[in-house]
Amino acid sequence: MTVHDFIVIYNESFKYIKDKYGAEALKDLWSTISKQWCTHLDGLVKEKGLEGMVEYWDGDDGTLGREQAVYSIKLENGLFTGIMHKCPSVGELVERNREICSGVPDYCDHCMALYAPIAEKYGIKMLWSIEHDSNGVCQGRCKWSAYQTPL
Amino acid sequence: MAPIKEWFGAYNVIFRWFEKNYGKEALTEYWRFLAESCFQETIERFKEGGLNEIDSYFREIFETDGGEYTSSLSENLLLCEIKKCPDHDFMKGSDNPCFKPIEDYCRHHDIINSVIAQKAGFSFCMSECSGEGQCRWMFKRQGRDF
Repeated sequence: MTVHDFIVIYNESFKYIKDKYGAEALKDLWSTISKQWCTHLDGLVKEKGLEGMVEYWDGDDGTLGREQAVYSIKLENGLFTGIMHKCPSVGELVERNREICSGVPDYCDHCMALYAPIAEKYGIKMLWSIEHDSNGVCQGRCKWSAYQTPL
Repeated sequence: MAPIKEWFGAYNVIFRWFEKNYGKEALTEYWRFLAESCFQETIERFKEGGLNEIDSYFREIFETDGGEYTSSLSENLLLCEIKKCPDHDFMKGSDNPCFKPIEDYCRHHDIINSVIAQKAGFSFCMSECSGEGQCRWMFKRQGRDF
């Protein structure tokens, strides 16, 4: 098992856990991943707030660049906005003919589940808007925004 | 999509979550599920290409991921030696305490490789494992002597 199969494994794991243990179990896993795995993001947001978020996703060593996402990110007047034009994660699942975890929650819900709690820890509100097709399957396109509270 | 090394740590977090919430048997069952659900392309590749292809597959992966892999191949037997496992290498280099491998971390390679090998017409054995990122594997063509 290597990181080359991670996205397929991630998606199948979500379906497995939801089917076997229920939706709340899957959300609990995401909460655990958020607390235990997203420590780099946590450190950046703690130290640099919204700029830390930009650095995490869009910096020289940012994850979205390394994952070869097609996206745009902006931090202006205290508002951080991002648009995912082509999520590499969903793209890989489609390319490899995988049935994307759908329903409630679905595959794309994991991003908000991982990142929004970290933002909230440091007084940052994060909002997400995910595109689905007519069958409710996520399309690999989404938008997110974040701002320090209170405004 | 380009993989990132941080995902090795994510595997460990997920495994620990399974073990803590549902026990070791549930974790083993999960690994079997992964082997049966996520590796169809790999199984077909092994079926078609045999031990040569198994060797190539692991050679490519370990090279790409910065591991160290050597092997010895005969007609019915492939012996693999992993001197540096990329998973352990990444996790050892991290100061995240949640990336300390769970006690049974290496068993996931044993379980998953065994299932994949069996479905492709081979048997697999992890003959040695240091638990620190060094191990030895054997893939054997089923029903054949060495």
